Amino acid sequence: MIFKGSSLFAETILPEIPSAVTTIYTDSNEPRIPAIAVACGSQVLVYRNVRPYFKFTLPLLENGDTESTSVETDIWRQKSDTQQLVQLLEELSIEYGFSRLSSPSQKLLAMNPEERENFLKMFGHLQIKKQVTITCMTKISKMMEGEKVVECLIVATESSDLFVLDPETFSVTEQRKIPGVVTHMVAQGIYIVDYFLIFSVRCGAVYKLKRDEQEIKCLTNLSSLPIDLALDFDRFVIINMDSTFQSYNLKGSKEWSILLDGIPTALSVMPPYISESTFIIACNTTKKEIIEGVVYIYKGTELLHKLHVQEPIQTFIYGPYGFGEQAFIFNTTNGGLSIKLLKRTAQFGSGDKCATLGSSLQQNIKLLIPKKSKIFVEQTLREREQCKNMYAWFQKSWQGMKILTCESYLNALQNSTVSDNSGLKLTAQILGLGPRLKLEAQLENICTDELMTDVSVTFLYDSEVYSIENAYINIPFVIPNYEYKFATFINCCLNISESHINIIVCHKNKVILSAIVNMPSEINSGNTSFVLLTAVVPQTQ
Amino acid sequence: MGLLDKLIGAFGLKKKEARILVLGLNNSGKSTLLNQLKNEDSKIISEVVPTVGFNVEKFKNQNVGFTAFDMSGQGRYRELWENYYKDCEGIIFVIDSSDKLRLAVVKDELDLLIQHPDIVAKCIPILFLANKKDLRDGMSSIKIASSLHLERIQDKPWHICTTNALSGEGLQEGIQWLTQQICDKFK
Ligand SMILES: Nc1nc2c(ncn2[C@@H]2O[C@H](COP(=O)(O)OP(=O)(O)OP(=O)(O)O)[C@@H](O)[C@H]2O)c(=O)[nH]1
Ligand SMILES: [Mg+2]
Repeated sequence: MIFKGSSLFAETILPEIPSAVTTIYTDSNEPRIPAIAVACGSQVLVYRNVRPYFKFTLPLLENGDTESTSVETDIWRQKSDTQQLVQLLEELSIEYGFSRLSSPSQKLLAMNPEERENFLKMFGHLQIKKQVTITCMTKISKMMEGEKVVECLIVATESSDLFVLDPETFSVTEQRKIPGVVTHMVAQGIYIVDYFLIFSVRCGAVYKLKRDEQEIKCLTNLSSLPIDLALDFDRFVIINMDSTFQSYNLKGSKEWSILLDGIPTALSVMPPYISESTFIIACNTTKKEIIEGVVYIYKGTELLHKLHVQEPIQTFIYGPYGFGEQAFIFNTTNGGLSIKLLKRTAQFGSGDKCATLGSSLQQNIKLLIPKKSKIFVEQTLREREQCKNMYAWFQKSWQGMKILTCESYLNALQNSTVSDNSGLKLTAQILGLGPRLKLEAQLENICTDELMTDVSVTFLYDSEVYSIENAYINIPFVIPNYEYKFATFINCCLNISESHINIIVCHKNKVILSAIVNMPSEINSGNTSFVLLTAVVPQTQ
Repeated sequence: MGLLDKLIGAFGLKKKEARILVLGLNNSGKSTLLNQLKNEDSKIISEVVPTVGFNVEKFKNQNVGFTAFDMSGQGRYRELWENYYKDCEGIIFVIDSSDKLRLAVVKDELDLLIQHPDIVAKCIPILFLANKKDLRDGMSSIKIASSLHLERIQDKPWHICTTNALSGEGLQEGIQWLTQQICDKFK
């Protein structure tokens, strides 16, 4: 279909599903009328003035593939029964690879077993010919630079071949073997002078081919499969299946990578006379289960503009349309075709990295690094010379600090009661006349709905005055509204007038409750003192 | 101005001069249209070529002598337009009525024109010509006027008519209106 302006201009039926289409200037006659080249199967059809002009048919395969083809032809000619044929072909496909088989064989193997019989009845008599299938096509100016000059077509095929077609002589001028099946390809330069070709292959590697150079250099292996590839003067940019938008220089080293919001579908570079290094990317993002298209315009890594489209975008092209207006033409998955024109007064920013949106922000954070002062230089020198001393000093002060913290912790425990936010109640009493005393305590969980586990009780005391028989008591769990009783004996070794013992309740490693029990001052006099202590903290729940 | 001059002016006897701008996108038919307005002897018979930069054309209607600046409508020359806004007494804005796609571009350029400080301050007549009315898929002048939101121009006199620059059809009506507007201002 050919559109002129916004209405349908002409419609032509193609013999097969096309794989690529481009416009091309085929000769130097005036007025300059471009032709339309369509790659279909193994042919390139060229149309002029909406009428077929000529067609290239790519030559059939030679070299390495003849062997498999002849074997295949033999197999088909023998015409054994379906079962046997399929089996032989399967063996062949294992030996040579599925992609080397001819298309009828491929079809037969891929088909449901029930349908095979029918298929053979209809097509079994046809001759087996290995078809080449074009996967990708691009163009390059033939003899000189400029607009509207004669161009050559470059096509790549499923059999990893590359052909250069000259539309002036209607012939194939060059044929090369390449390392893979090309998915995307861009060319720059002039065919008879110097040119290079950058292409990505199905396994995700990117290669560069130069005129006059036999070797085809592998530039990079992508982290993920490429979706689209474009050339921007001295770099190439790529969008990948992992939603990244990456830029590489022509030697293959990565310059930057941006994570896109959504799955990209197409990429294009603006012509430098409009704005340099400006890229247009179409993405499809899923928002609230609805897939919508977004078009991003990047200047370098800076996001300049975001354009929302209601439907998911299938693909787009960008370029001058009609009378030279910069147009962005896209089609959506539901079959819509839309055209957007660029405003003449559009501003593209300066390419500075300030005022950016979204993903490039993290690259703009400037670290505050002061200049190297004299003191800094001296210090580094000293550090280098006296590292051992410095380390020893550091260790010492580190230990000192540790001790200090431990001391203050202990101090805090002794001098104040700790009560964490668990509703525990502790009651303690000292029984006996001494020197052997009995400490009895009750622990109660006054929370109604919380079970305390891993609770332990220990004591803090002056070891010169007392010795406690059971200094560590473990309480597996404290059930709510149940008084847990525990007791221990305390031996008094010295007769001291005033003293106390701290009871500490721990939960795992944390002190959650502490209480001070005053000891009877004259133990030998036989007085019994009662201490009732409660530390109840309001529940937090 | 003496009493005599005033009298002559009032009776429309004095020859008046007016500088007008002819604007519009490329391929809208500006040059073809001006060519149609010129004297029989200075007309170009052959096909007009796209204008580069601008051309100055002179023509007469009634007793007003027009000096028309035929600006090029190509994208890269459109920024030249505003340099001539300052001293012009009328604008002819030509629209290709068969170019539906670029009507959005036309609107954009018109917006830039009427918002330009040199134009905002002035009260000059604008004549819109919906050209190429002979073409099959042309839009009507009403449709064009509404797509361009012409009704928002309230401080300037404007008029729209359909033309065919190749045959000159409809052209006289438009130029008559423009001449009238310019004469009214002189008084
Ligand atoms: N059918 C038809 N064609 C017209 C009409 N007016 C102009 N044309 C054609 O439109 C084409 C462009 O006309 P030009 O006068 O060069 O356009 P322009 O506006 O001066 O273009 P630039 O100088 O590039 O801005 C020519 O081929 C004309 O023959 C019209 O009324 N009808
Ligand atoms: Mg012109």
